[in-house]
Amino acid sequence: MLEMRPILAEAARGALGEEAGDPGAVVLQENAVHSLIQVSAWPHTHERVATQLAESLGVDSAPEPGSALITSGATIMRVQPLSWWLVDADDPSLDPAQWMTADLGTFLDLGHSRARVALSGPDSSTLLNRFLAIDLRPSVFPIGAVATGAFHHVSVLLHRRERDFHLYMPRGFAVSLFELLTETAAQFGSQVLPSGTH
Amino acid sequence: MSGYRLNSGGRVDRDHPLPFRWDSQALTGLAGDTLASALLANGVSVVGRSFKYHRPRGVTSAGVEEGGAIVTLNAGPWTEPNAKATTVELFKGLEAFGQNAWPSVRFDLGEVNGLFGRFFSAGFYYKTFMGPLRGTRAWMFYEYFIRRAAGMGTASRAADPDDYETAHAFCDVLVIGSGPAGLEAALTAADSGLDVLLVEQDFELGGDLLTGDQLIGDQPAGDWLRTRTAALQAHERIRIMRRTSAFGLYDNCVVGLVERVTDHLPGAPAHLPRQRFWVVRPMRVILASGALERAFCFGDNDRPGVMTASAAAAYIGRYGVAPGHRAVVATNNDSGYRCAALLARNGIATTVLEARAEAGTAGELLQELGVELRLGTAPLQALGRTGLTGVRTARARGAAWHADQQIDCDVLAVSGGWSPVVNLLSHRGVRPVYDATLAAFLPGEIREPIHVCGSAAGIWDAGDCVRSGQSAAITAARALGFDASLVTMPPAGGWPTPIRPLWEVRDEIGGVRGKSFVDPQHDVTSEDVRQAYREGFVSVEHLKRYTTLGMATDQGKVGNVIGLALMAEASGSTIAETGTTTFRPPYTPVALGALAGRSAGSHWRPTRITPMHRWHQRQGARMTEAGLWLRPWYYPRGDEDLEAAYRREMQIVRERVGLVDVSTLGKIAVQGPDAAVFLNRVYVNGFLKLPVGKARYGVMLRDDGVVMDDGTTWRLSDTDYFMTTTTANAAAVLAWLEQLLETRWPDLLVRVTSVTEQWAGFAVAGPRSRQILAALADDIDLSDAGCPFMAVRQGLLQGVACRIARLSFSGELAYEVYVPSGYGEALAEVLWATAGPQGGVLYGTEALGALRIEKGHVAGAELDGRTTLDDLGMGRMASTTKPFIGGVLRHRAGLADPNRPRLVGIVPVEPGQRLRNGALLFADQNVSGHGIGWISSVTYSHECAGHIGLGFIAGGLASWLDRTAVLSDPVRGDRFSVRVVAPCFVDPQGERLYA
Repeated sequence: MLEMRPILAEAARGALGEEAGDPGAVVLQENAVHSLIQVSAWPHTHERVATQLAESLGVDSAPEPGSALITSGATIMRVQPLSWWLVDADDPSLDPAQWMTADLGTFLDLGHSRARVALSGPDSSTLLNRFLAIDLRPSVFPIGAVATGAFHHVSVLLHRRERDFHLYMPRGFAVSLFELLTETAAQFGSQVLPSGTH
Repeated sequence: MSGYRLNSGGRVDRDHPLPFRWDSQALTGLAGDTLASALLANGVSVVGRSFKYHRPRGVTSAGVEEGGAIVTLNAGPWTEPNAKATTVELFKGLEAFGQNAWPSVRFDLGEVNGLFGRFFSAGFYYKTFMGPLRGTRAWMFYEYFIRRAAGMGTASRAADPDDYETAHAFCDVLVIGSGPAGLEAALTAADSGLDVLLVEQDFELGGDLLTGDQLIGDQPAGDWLRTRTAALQAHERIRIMRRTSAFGLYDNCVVGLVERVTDHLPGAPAHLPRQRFWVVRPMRVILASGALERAFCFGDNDRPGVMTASAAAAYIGRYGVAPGHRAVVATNNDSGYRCAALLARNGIATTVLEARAEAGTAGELLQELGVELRLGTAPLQALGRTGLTGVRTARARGAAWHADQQIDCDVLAVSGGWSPVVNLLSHRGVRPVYDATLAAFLPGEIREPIHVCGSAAGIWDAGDCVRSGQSAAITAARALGFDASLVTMPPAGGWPTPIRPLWEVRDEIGGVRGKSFVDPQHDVTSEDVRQAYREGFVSVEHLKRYTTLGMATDQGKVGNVIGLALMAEASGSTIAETGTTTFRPPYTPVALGALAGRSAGSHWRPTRITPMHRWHQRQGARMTEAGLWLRPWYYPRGDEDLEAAYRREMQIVRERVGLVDVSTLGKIAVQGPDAAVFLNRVYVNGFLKLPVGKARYGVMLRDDGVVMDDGTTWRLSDTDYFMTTTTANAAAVLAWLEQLLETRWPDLLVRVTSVTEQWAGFAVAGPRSRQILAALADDIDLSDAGCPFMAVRQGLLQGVACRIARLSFSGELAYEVYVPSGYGEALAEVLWATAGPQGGVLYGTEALGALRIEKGHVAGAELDGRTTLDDLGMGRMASTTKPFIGGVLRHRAGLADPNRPRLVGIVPVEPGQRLRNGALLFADQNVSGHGIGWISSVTYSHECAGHIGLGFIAGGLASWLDRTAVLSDPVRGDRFSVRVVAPCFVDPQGERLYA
């Protein structure tokens, strides 16, 4: 069996020695994605797909555009008007292959396409705004909000959770972007934790 | 001028002396000083030399409008030329130098230019150096000397050693400026419930209040400022950014700021950038940017010791520095009396020259202070050379001035009126409107969510400025849906006695005495303005460009209104009729490094790596850039160079087996019930009937019939395809497919998603490729029958889901194998563990390119956005039974011309000669012009025992097969004969491919 390797482990090790100031101002940690399935609907089926997703997750409704929902089995994020990301859905019963048909929409495994970094600490939103032109004021981007933005010209997705942000970056760019994050975070006082899982 | 530190007063910290160096001389200032105030306190009078005439210049202002004290900061790679000493915050160890002078600003040999000053008038360069000897070469000769004699400071050629960064901010209201209006606006807006960002270019909040001599209501300005500042700092809805300049106002209220983070610190702390470029996106902007005091023109008005009245007041009130021992204040409005009062209260003998016939209540105050007041009087000429020694006055007789007396003085403080800072509005296309009563341009009609208050709106009284700030904030809050009671905006103006517009003082008989500068930063005189008009430059825009008035960093701050007034006078029109020029961003200079932010050095652009990147590095790969990707270029052994390495690698691939990382290929999931129909429209060849489990090579055209990209598309199921694109065009192809689906065929049920990052892949190529993969695949039959050419198989490889297709770019038996990216490094390890002992090789992009050239496969060098299917010899691929993108326009006469350059193979006639990319092809030895073709790709070929190439030649093989042409490489100097052959050099029958 081939072994799966974390994406940012070496970059994180390289940044571990660069703590400055209050090490808790920003805490960064690679948070490996277990699974990520993109579920998409056609324009005339999006309500049915949303209903099906909600039923499979046991929630009242699937999230609206720009928002996410964390359930006991997975995180689901509305990433486009007609698409959701079903993240860390480890329970096979949540697999959309069980109910999705081509007439209803599509699903696609993107679980290896993204690196995920968790950012926490009081200056984490300030750090993110060094790169992202997203209004992160809690009144505008509250817990559960999701937005796509450009980070050094690269499209990334940001999810605000109760205690941290999850930043999803295309795998190939992840090391480059992570280096920018850790270099910039040093001015606040930062801590880079070894790669882990959610 | 002989400035000195007063024994008391000011906001400087007298317990914190700061040593610094000026022109290598050790001096001392105080915390809270600017470089300008510290120089004045040390009695330094000559701080700069002028642009053209090298005239000695001193401090003329106390802010961003400075046109005289322009200096160079720091040394070596940290050199920063053209800094305005009036905005440089003093710190311990600051090092500053005079510029544009030799050997020093105090004694400058370049001053000889002044002797020829009468020749250096407007248009001097054009007339002298571009007229008689036309042509670039002559100008280039003169330019060298002119640039050495004129100009500003000299930048370092070394790389900028500092870090910078960009940042984004959002707020409900951005308040620009922290004078009385800005402070009140920020506090009122925050109290109304808005998130407020307050920016101030200075290192202290307060603006004009920092001088400390005003009253707001009956409260001293200092007290008012202290309480307001405390309230602002304690307010949870307000963020305050000092040392931050709003330099540009753009669409949708986007504002560009530059924050000077460490410029004022003696040793920059680690990890902090020098400056930070902010992009702020507020809902509304409150512009409380204040007003700049202007002088008026008179003879030699640039002598060190001449400054604006508000500057003289600021040096006394804020910095505790007396600008001289004997002062003359010249004014045409009430504001000059503040300066006179401050001077007198600090023991400086002062005379006021009042251009108006009466001074009103302002003058009464001066009598109590013992200040001499001369009504109907103005300065005619400043006296002295490197320092002011006196002023020759003129008396008004009606509108004319007549030379009068001489007064000894070492400082002349001038107030000619105030110009609201409307520059940021000008960035938005808001034309200022001239108010003849106030002698000032006021903001014009604003149709964007921008509110102007304070003296930026032409409101002069401090109390009125406060009320205008309240009004602007409440208007903004109500517009954003917050409930607040309206406050009436005070009207513009506020002086008890009206201003007497005054632009220049000339003797009715003798005219201007000496040079009368309108824009001292660019050495533009009043005579230059009149001369420009006489020579036909009657538009203000032409005036600006012909004379350089208000250009560059000045952007009209100092001389704009005066220049326009003189132009109006010359033309016999009004200032309103004459109009004004456009102020452009940046309002104040911005370091290019700040705009670049962290996009510098290794982060100049994002770097993209494959999942196997570090593994490649461990194998000794030399990497190369392919777009944003880093890819293995070659894997040298021992002392091998590129040439030796790639020749070895390609030979082993042909003889045994090689592995190359192909993860960078663009990969797109094309899904949906209409996916086949969609692909059939996109590609020139048919895709409707592609069976599940098969791949097909496809070419897509642009609308104009030119080839866009190529690649293979794999059918994974009835509704699921895996498209590959070239590495370079992956993003463009995905965007193109999305555009087609969104705009032309929204009826198709198709979704396209990039899966480039999802899959890591290797091409396994060579005669032994099958046995390598077969040893690793768990459940996939890779025999020729089980996996024929172009077959696609999905299964398990070492327990992990994989996709394998039998494809070949090299012409050998070959496969592409993909696994989810997280397993990419492990895939590399097991493949190499199997292929290595079999005598295999890792190969990079150089060998990859060499192998495809041998096979005659086209790549980026051939798909260059100019070539058609027929040019590439693939015209027969195009379906004749279905429409496809580009299918109509590919038949345009120009594209169907059989004499277009078409793909051919090229070999040198004499063995051993080396072909080079980009060389031109000619029909015969008559080598001139651009030839009839070119070489696009070259390599050494073991199979051909020499260099081979692909290229294009007019008429292609139909005209040139086995004929000789001439290769000419004018850049590298080659010229020799080449033979045109078929572009496939190896295995033309495909025996290896189908093995």
